[in-house]
Amino acid sequence: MNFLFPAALFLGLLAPVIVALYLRRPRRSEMEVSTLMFWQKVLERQPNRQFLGRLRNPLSLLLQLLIFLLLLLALARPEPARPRGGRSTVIVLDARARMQAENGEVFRAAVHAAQSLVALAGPGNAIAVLSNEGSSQIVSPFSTDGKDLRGRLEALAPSDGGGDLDDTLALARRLLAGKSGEKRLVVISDRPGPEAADIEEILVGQPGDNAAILAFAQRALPASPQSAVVFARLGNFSAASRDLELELSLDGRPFDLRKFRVASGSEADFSTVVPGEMLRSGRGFLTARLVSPDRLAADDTARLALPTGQNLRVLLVTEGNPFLEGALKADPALTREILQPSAWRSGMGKDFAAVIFDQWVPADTASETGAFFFFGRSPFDAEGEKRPVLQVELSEPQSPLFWNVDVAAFRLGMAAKFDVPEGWRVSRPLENAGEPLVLALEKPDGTRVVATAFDTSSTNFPLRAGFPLFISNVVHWLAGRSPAGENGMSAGQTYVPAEAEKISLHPQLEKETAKLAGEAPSLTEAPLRLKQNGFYEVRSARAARWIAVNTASREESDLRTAQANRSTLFLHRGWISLHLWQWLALAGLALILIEWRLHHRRVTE
Amino acid sequence: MPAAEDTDLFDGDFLSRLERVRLQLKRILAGSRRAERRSRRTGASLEFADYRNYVSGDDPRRIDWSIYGRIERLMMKLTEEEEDLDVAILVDCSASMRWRPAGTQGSSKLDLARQLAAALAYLSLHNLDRVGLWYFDSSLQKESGYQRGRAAFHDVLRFLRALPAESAATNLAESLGRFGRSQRRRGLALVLSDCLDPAGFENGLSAVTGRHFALHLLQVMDPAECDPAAAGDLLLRDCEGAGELAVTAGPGLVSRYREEVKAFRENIKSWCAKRNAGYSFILSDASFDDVVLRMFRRDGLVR
Repeated sequence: MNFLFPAALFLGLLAPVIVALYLRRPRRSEMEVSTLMFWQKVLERQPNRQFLGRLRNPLSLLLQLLIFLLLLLALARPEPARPRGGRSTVIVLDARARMQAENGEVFRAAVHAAQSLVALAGPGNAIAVLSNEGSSQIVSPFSTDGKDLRGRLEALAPSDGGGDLDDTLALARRLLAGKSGEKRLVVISDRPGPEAADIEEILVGQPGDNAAILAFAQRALPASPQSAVVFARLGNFSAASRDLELELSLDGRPFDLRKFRVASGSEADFSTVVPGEMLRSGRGFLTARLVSPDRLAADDTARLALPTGQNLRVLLVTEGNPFLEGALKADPALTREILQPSAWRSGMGKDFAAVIFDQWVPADTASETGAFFFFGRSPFDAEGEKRPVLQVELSEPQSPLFWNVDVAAFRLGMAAKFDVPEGWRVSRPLENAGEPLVLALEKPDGTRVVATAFDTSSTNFPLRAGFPLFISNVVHWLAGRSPAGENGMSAGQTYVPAEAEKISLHPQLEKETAKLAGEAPSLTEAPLRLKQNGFYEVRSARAARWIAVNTASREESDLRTAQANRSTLFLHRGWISLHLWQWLALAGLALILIEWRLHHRRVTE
Repeated sequence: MPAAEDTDLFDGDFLSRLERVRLQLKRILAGSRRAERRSRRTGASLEFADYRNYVSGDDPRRIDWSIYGRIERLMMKLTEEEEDLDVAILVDCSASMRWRPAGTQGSSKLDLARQLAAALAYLSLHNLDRVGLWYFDSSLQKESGYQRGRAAFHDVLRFLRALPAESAATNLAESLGRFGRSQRRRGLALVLSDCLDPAGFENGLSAVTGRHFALHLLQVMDPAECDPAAAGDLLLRDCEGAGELAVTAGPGLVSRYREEVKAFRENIKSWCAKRNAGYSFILSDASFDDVVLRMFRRDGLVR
């Protein structure tokens, strides 16, 4: 037993004062009565009271001394003897999406359990709090300040995403490894974690039924690139079949409602086309929502940011190229303008989403700003003869420039050789024997440039169906748009902004679209963990786009795996987790009441 | 009426109230006549008692001729015989009767008892009864002797004003026993006492009723005796020197005390009823007029 404030024990010298004061207690008040016979009869009939009365005075003194002793000990702040190095506790609080079940009741129960534990923090008992919100987060490093720990716990909110607990447990073990003395690792979750001897568990959940939107994606319709094909997958994590209603909204306005009967434990897929006409106006925020509420709300709504139908202005600088002109005409999302090379003036590119130079390079390209597509000739061409091309290789299949483009039948005769410039971020989606045939260049200031080592005369590519798609992909990429559309990310993932990119710190919801245009959201260039579902704005120097973030996790939506409240801990209830000095003070208070009942009340009444 | 020099308990105000009470009683008791006490004997008074058949030797003046006219039989009309009455008023002057609750300035039980004794004597003298007064505590202390006539009221007041200087503990058996033994005629005994005799009240009161006296007990108690304002750790001291008692008075104890007093009163009342004795319970803070006009009539002390 240690005392945090041993100086308080010196107050024990006051004990004789209590005895002296007790002895000086005023004598009984004298009172003259006309007769004692009634009082005598009353007392004769209550012998037990007389016995208690005889005991009362010495008992009162004893109680008062005991009360004094208890208060003295409470003031001295006794603490049970700790092992050398004290106790170190790491609390891992599960903050994944499923902890939001029951309108957040499960997570609140988890926080309450954690607060009961941090109430024990104090000298000799340092507590750290970690949370698992898709990735491991240190809510609080080791601290003995219970108030600070409670404050940090109260500020916690569960994530909309899933994640793996193992990383957080590994982090917790690393934190404990640096500590000496007694170590505890407490996990608070709604489901059992990995079995390990060093883990104490508090389970706060309840198993239950749930339905969820497990996937929500879109792609452009190849026959009509301005239209989108939307795909959704619904899951029924219930013990019985369920009738699910799926409502689709565009920019907050519902436009479709579908009903599905999904068997227990099964999934149902659904796809539909959103015509380009619908996307021409508005922001393209597509929302799918399960109408019937259930235990977990986070997975009942999924979002997508569809490409809007606003046309891109493209300037084609050419002596005349029917293939390029035809390819640009084939994409209704593009508005093309054609210019003779002799009419080109420096700075004209700023007014267009992209400028295509057909086998012609302006005199001073270094000073130009904008997005340029050098077709056939480029400033990066190496001097000398062109080289023969035997085989074409799509080295970056995920490149947005070649989305939906089949290069299998691509034949190429001669190609220029590039001197890859420095100071650019370079990708080479198409190569021949290690030499790039297409260069995609990007500067930190947002300037994008694409160059091809071939022109229309040296290849069969303009004759292929993929050529207009390739041209369209290039223009969209130069304009900062993803030709394939964004299929969103899962909550809990981390978005790493590209060069000159920023992402909004907080998501927007579809109903807030009206004010999006007028507001400047808080942006960050740093990697951002996408904790909440919603639309995140990503801005680059030349364009802005939206990323939709959804829960989309079978593990989070399947609440049947939750377990009823259970704890391997003894001390996790608030009223038990009092400090020893608080118990002593409470005992002193109880004795004061007893003493008052036995003695003082009789004197004063 | 008494002289105006009477002061203190029996000052002019008291005497005027006494006269008012008498007049009120007279109105209330309209039809009753002075100096008429029913006796068990028939006599020469005007109060009808009964009829009986005429027998030889009866006074023919008492034959009711109107009866004869109706039934043709000689019937004697009997009337109650009037006789005067000895009214003995015994006032307890023990220490408990002089006791007042600490810190109060009101009248003691003895003060009220003396006023009531004066009133009863006044009414009796107006009825032409013989009235005698006694003070008693542990024994008979003082006696006025029987007197008759309204003029004797001055002597009554003088007697009541002259309290014994010292007072002892109550001893009903001794004092009332001596009284009973000293009486030769039958009469009405009015005992004004708190009956707070640790030895009991039965022997003393029996000594009065055993001598063929009609008894009416007027038990006078202080409100503080019935409902004491005792609280906390107390050392109770008996005013009659019966010792001390340490008590811790809480609500429960005081409640049981009240029950004990109530049982004591009920016991006395029951005892009186069994012996055909009158009983009045009077609190010392009661209004004098109320006691005489309402309580005495209710308890049959005045008609």
